[in-house]
Amino acid sequence: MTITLTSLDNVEFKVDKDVAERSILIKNMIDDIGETDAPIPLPNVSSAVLTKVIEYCEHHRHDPPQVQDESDDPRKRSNDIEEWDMKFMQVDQEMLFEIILAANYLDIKPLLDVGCKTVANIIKGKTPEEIRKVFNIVNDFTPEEEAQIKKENEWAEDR
Amino acid sequence: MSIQRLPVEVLGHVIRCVAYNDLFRCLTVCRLWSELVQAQLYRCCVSAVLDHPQLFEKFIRNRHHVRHITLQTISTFDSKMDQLTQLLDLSRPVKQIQSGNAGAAVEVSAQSVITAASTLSLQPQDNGSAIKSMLVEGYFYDFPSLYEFLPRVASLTRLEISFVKPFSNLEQIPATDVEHLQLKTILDSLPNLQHLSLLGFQFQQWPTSPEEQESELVRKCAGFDHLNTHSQKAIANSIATTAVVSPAVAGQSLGVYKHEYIPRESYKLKSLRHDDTLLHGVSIEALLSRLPNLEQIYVTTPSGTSSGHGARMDPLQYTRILQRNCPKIKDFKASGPWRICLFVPKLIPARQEGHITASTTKTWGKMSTYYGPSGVPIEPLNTWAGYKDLVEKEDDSIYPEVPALPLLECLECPGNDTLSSEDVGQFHRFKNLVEIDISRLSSYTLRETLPYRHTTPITGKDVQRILEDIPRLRVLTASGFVISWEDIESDDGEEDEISQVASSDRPVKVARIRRWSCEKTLEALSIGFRLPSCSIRQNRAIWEQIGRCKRLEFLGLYGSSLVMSLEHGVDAILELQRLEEIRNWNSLFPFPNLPALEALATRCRALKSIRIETVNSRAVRQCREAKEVLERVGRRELWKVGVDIN
Repeated sequence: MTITLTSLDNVEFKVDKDVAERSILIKNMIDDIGETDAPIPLPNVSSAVLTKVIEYCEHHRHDPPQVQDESDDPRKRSNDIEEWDMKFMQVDQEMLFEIILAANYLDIKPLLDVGCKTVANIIKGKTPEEIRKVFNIVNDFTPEEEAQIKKENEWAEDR
Repeated sequence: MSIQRLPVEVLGHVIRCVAYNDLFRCLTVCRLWSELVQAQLYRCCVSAVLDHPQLFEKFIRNRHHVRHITLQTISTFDSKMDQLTQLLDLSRPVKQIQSGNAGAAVEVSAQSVITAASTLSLQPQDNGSAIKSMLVEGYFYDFPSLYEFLPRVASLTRLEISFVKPFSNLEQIPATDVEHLQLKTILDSLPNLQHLSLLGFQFQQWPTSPEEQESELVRKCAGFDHLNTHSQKAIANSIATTAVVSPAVAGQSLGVYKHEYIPRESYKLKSLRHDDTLLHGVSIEALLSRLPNLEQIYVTTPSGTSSGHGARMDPLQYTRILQRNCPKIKDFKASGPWRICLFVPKLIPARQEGHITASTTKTWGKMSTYYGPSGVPIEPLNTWAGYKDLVEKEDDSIYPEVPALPLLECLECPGNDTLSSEDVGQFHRFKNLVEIDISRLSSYTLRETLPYRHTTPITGKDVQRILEDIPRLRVLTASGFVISWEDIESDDGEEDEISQVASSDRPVKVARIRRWSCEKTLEALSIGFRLPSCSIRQNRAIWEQIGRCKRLEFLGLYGSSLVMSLEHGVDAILELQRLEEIRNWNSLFPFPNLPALEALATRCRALKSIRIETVNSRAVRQCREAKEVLERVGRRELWKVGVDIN
């Protein structure tokens, strides 16, 4: 059974049902409307990103279903990105955030986790200034505010 | 696309992935990040915070971030009430917070931080508290304060209360000193509760109305519905003669009554952890029948009470109560001497019938669950006579068509000596079973007090059968069992396979073995192997089987002779990209082959630890060499050993 997905730029992708159903959004859609030949539109995802997402889902098609972890602490597995995923995530920042956004929209929790962990790894060991630089973030703190925030939370330094 | 265009909820997820050490530096990146990082920093408030006035002040200022509270070693609950009230802002009148729109929070600026905060529900919800989980541990007696407090934190989804005795006083405290908790009060106070853990407690009788008691009786009859009609009638009759029963109950088919239950209040609870002594004078069924959504159950034995506070739950009866009240059970775990009993065991008495001593009966107690409304006891199962009676009634239906708890996914019962070889043979009928722990433990001493035991002990052969029979198995922990060559050798009469092995110049013959059907899904394996020799032919076959388990993360080879042949097998497992931990190779010869170890350390990049629990003094030199190898290839951190060899 194959499913047709249509990207933002109207490119059609044919994928196996079990691959498509790595996305909980699509899975729920199929559950709701029943099996159909009609293409499923994904107006939030471009074809370039969808190609990557499908590549991920195909590689992980046999993974056991995600267990809902109530404790929601992904930190404890922060660096655990398996080798294939690590290579898969070696893309430019633009694409990295597009993938994260798509994973969030399509509800593919493991891909979202891998994406967020990749970002966390970029942050690792960097100073605030370096973080701003690498992600192109404007510092909207006044020096006084910055000092104040640091002081308030100094207990958390070097934990 | 840049990080600033991520929705706040997604950015929050990124921040949650950041390691603790990096959090502080993320704090001053920009306003939005600062808010999200603080949500992380103040998420969990522990006892130590309450003891430091300055730090506590800071938590008060950031109390809208607090989601979890941990109170350890408290002596009175009352003494913490003021601080909790402050921390959770419970004195404040309930106010309506305007919730943000998730879609609107895409563009980020300083002004949007407030919107962002409410999108992430960083603000308390309108019930006055956003607290999600609470852990209280200590030796406290002011339960009325606790009962009074709980309704004020109705947002709780997880509650853990442990009644822990101060260690120094252990001697002076009588064994009967166990607090009786009003479970109904707790459950009624916390409508959102999903996870409840209560250790060191027993519960008070569930308050029931007369109508409910009537219904209770019908429920009990119907609970035996997997028995044949004859047995059902017999049980119905025995109840009718020993108890006051409405005429409608007597003489009719039991199935009819299943639909006549008086509806009860039911709770959302998904997981429950409790002690095996829980039912001291209390009907466990009265509790479990109110928890139809229960998915996880974890039975523990309170430490220092191996002889019991008195009555322990009877394992088989407990399973039956679960079976008829909690059909969604996925995880069933027990630690400590209490055993899970999934099947009516084919039993032999641990002692001769009629020799059940007073002390045995006392340890296992009387099951008050099975008292009828008029106070006449229904035959309890927790004596040998009770079991014998039941087994005879069921005769050949020991393994019924539908197993008890058909949705079971995880079965953890280390040290369970009531599980028989025949029982293990039934495991494949739990279609969802993916995690099994049947480790053999020698530390439990309750064996003597059981009135029964199983007929055929489990062996390595049964463990091999699990690996063959359960195709989606993810975790198998069977420490203490050893699979021998006869168990795994293939009997299909096919020729040996010819294989290339790194340790040999020429192709070698590899024996054929019975393949594990779970090789595609297995993530953790703990088992021993016993092979008659160090021949490449046999050892290589098993290494290749392990190497085919591509998802393997944990490999425990307890007391394995297999390890001796690592040099012939190492190239078969180097492709295990997820392998994180290898444990307890062999305490006599921890690293029989240094080049093999080097290959593991350099090629298996996911590997984080090679752990040896005990090291024989003769192996010390070997360990030193191994350590040097790891240091040379820059993977010194892999070295983990239970005993310091320096």
